[in-house]
Amino acid sequence: MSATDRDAGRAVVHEAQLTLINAKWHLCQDRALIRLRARPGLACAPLFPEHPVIQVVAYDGVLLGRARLHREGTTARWIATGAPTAHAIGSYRTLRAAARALARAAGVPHLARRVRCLDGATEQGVREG
Amino acid sequence: MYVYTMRGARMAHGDKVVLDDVTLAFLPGARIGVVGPNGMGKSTLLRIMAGLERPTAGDAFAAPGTSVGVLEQEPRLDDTMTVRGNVEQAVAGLRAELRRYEEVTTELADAEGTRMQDLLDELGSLQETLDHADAWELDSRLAQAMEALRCPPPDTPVRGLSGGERRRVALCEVLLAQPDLLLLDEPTNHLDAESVAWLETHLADYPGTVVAVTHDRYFLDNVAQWILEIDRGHAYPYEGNYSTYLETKAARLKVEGRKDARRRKRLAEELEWVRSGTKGRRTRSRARLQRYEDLAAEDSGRREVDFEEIQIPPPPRLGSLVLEADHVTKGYGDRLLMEDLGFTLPRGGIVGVLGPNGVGKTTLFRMIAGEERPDSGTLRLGETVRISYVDQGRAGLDGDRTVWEAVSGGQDHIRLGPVEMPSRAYLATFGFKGPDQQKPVGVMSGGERNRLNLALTLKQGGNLLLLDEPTNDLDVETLASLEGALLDFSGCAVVTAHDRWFLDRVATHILAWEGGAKWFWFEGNFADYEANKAERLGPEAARPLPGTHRRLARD
Repeated sequence: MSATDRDAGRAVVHEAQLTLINAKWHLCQDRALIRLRARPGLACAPLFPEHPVIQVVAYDGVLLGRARLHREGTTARWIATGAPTAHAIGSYRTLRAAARALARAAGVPHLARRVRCLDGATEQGVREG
Repeated sequence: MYVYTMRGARMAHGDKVVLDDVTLAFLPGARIGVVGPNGMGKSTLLRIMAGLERPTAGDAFAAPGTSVGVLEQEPRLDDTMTVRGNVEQAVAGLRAELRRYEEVTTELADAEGTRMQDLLDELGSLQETLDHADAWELDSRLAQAMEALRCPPPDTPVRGLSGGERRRVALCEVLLAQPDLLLLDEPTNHLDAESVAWLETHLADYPGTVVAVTHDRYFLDNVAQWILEIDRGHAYPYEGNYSTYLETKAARLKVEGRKDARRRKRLAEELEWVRSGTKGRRTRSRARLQRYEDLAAEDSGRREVDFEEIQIPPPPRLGSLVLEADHVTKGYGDRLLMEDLGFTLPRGGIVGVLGPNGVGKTTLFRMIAGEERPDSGTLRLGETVRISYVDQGRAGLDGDRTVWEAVSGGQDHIRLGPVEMPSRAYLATFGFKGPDQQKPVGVMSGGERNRLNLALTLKQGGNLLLLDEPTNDLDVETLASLEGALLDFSGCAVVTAHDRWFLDRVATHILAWEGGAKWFWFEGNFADYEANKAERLGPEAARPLPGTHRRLARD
């Protein structure tokens, strides 16, 4: 096997590894969505169970995007990222505000933007209802 | 919010005002084609938008946070690196993010508490970036882009590449970087038809804003949502593609009562062709072959010369035999270029020769011109045939002579068949205006040499023109002028070109390389040939390059 073949082989293996890691992420997301389908309206659930720092946001079980708690020093903001573009649409003081921003961006009617969070997601020590 | 804004921008190069009080705003996601005469400011506009030049007055700025990528006419590559090294520079940031992603997933295994939270936050951020850039199959995307644009092999040092190869590498690099504002200066130059089709598909789906200076009219038709015409320092936006631009511009010229009736006529002819549809175009093409006598009479009867349009002298009449190839085979060493090639070029026929570089197009020209012989088989030229051909590599031009001297021989007037024309006016129709005509031949760019070659060839007065890539480096108006001149020309022409619009307008036959030493002779224009190719070889043969169902841009 030539050096070029070995390099090509390594590149294929590396790309397969990355694909696997990415697939695991999306598997976690799909599991969160399955749980969210049981909750009509605007709702969020943690991407990784027991770690509320990344939340999957859905409306009637359809993925709107994610919200991620970003800390810098003593401040913390929820970064809302829309699906499928994965483009950040803004940072918000609360998870609820981030979820509503995602709903607004997706055209969800205003009256339907009450947020329900599964597994007691918290933001800055306040439990969401 | 606009992705780029220009307000009252003015740009002068010495005494020449290139942009005069230009105010424009570019929307996110827009596809803009920029057209206009050569030397009138199109590339300068792009350079200002890329931040490579500043206007001498007025404002020009991108929206905050906008990434900008540019393909320049003479692109800058890192000559110390290979092809792959240069292309990788476009994705160096993504590579770093992917490496960090792998590191974070490893670190998470042993993390807990606050450290775990911070790592998950970082992981989420990296996931967003990588998802947005579609970075998970980066190696495949790189390979796909390099193949589609026919880049040289990845390990090739950049230092020894030709101009066309450098442009393909630079185009690959800027596409992979996926900037918010993508600026392209003649992106289809040096690309074959398949690569152009691939590029069109990807730019149509590009997630950002695309501004492309181009003379490729199908490219403008297929990709552009706006046409921006830069003419004499002013910018005129037209909503729609190239065909819509022709209609709108024709109406504008009429309203303005412009005196350049000849230009309006050329515009009207091109518009009529656009409207005629596939069947109408086929009819026109066949009519040219069937009415040679009428065409020859019209051509030789022309006495009026329009000094603003390209002129081809009326040729000597052709006999029944023009050019006939019979079982022609030709190779170099162990490389076979063509095998058992056969065709008959009729009077009035215009052949478009298609194929990538290196497959034998120039060798074919040399055989027709009698400078080389086939290894077997015959190439017969009729007794009445007079060839017009200038082999660029052997033209023997004195590098110290000016462009004007090279074409005119120092004479103020040159003869084009039965009429005389001022030599400077003749040169101007090929885009050599004013001081351009005093430029020494030895310092001309590749594009200028091509135009000089065309000017020298067309004035030779033959009835069989051999034109090697005449459409490169011509602006859309000059292209339309050349097309008009060829359509009025009663002789024959063999033209290598990849400009599909040009081939569809003028070609009566296509001679296409189809792999190995196989060439296919077809009666019809380029669009008809493509349809025929799909019928014969299956739809995959007519599609852009393999793997192109996968886009570089994110859905």
